[in-house]
Amino acid sequence: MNSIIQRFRDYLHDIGQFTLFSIEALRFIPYNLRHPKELFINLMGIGLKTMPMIAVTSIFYGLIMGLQLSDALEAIIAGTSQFIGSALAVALVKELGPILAALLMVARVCSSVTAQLGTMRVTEQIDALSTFAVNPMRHLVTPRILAGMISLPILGFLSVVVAFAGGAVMVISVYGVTPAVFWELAQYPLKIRFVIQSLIKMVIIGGYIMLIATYQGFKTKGGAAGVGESTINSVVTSSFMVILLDFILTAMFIMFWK
Amino acid sequence: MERKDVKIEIRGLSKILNNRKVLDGVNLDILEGETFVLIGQSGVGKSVLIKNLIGIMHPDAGTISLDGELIDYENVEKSDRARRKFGMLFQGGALFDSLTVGENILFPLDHLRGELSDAQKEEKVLRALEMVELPGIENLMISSLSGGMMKRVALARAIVAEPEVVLFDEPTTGLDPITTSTINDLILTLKKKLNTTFVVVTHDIGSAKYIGDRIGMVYRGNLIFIGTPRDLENTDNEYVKQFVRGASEGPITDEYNANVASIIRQSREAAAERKRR
Repeated sequence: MNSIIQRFRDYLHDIGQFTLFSIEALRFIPYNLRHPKELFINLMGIGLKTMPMIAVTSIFYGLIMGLQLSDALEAIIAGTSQFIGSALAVALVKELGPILAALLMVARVCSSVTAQLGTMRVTEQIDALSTFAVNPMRHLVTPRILAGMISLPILGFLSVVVAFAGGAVMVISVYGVTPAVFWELAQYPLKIRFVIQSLIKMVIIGGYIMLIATYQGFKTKGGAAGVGESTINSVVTSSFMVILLDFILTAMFIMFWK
Repeated sequence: MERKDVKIEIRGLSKILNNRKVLDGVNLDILEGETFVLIGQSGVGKSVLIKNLIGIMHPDAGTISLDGELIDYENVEKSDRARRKFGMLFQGGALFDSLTVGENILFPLDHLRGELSDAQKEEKVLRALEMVELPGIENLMISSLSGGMMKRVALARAIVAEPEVVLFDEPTTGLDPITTSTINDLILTLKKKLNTTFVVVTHDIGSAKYIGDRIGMVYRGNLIFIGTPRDLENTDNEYVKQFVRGASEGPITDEYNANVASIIRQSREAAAERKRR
């Protein structure tokens, strides 16, 4: 019984710590916008270098979607695969593109950010920063969060475009739909609102997963095993939070902005 | 001995980590220009003491004054002023491995000495590398350095911004005997050139006697001995004697064994308690 109470208290303590960490990190956003050197370095690492991976994964994602969905639709009513254009456009813009990009970002970036900051913590590099009157939050955490907020919308947009192209290739080449019809039907159900909502989601999710990754890195303790532990926590928590935040934000959009 | 001014005044410094009182009301004066060596076993709070000095940890009780002025690391302006006066050599070097040697040494200058021009900074970086006898390696990556070279580069980074007090956390731990004595000699040479106050934490008695003007021994969160290397030889304190001789039998191990026995007893009792439920 005592251990359950203790664990619950630890859990609350952790939430409190994370909240304080977040507030502290967001406080330095104006400073990092005025001195964007670290931000640019992290945009390269977090955003630019993730692009090839997103592009390659998304094109196959699109090819598979085009193939599977057309096949299913043709099996129900023959000669309807041109409508896959509409389905793909809406699904990719609203959910599939942002979530694919976010999960790939978790896999490639959150893991490396946590491992890097965790190693810096256990080798006292973070302590060394503060001895040079450099606030480690300002120097290491905030630039990464900003980079996440800026990168994910761009990566998500890339994913949508490439996956859509992949789907189009399949539907057009395998099922003989003409490009003009496919394009027309793809545009038909899309609304500008969907794009804006999707961008808002990606800004929030991109910042939040970097917050988790940096937090886990900062609270690393105890050598190589500790770094491994933090990296697991970071990837698991942020993957879950991608889906949970997506659910919450989508529900809010449907309730208040329809 | 000439009378020196007090550089750092520590009064009633206490620090609790993981429910354990690591420092328990430490009082200590460190004099201007001396090399003060803190000795003691691993984990008795030596490093915690110097981390409190430079503001990586904050004391739970007590005060630290530098040149008669209270240090307050909660106050941004005051803490920046205090940090300019300190340099620290970390145990593992704590060099930024994403940067080159030169960029590492430039880092404190960029952030602590913003008033310098780029040319002046570069000149200082080169001079610091010369001082630690590693001229011309500023373009190497940190990962390509050996353990001894890393210590030297870290030392160059600790002194480049011209601090008034340099803190050394285990400068010779993990180095072979020859590298250890070259680092010790380097510390003495730097001392002559810079003429600043050094505070060294070590558990190596040989190094302590070689480089120290005064030595303090930390035991159970407090200083149980302060004196010159000669006093250390002639002390009657059984604890200090055991540590200096490196004997496996004596009051320190007796207390340690009693402590271990009580931990084992407690864990057994806890296990029995769990079984009963």
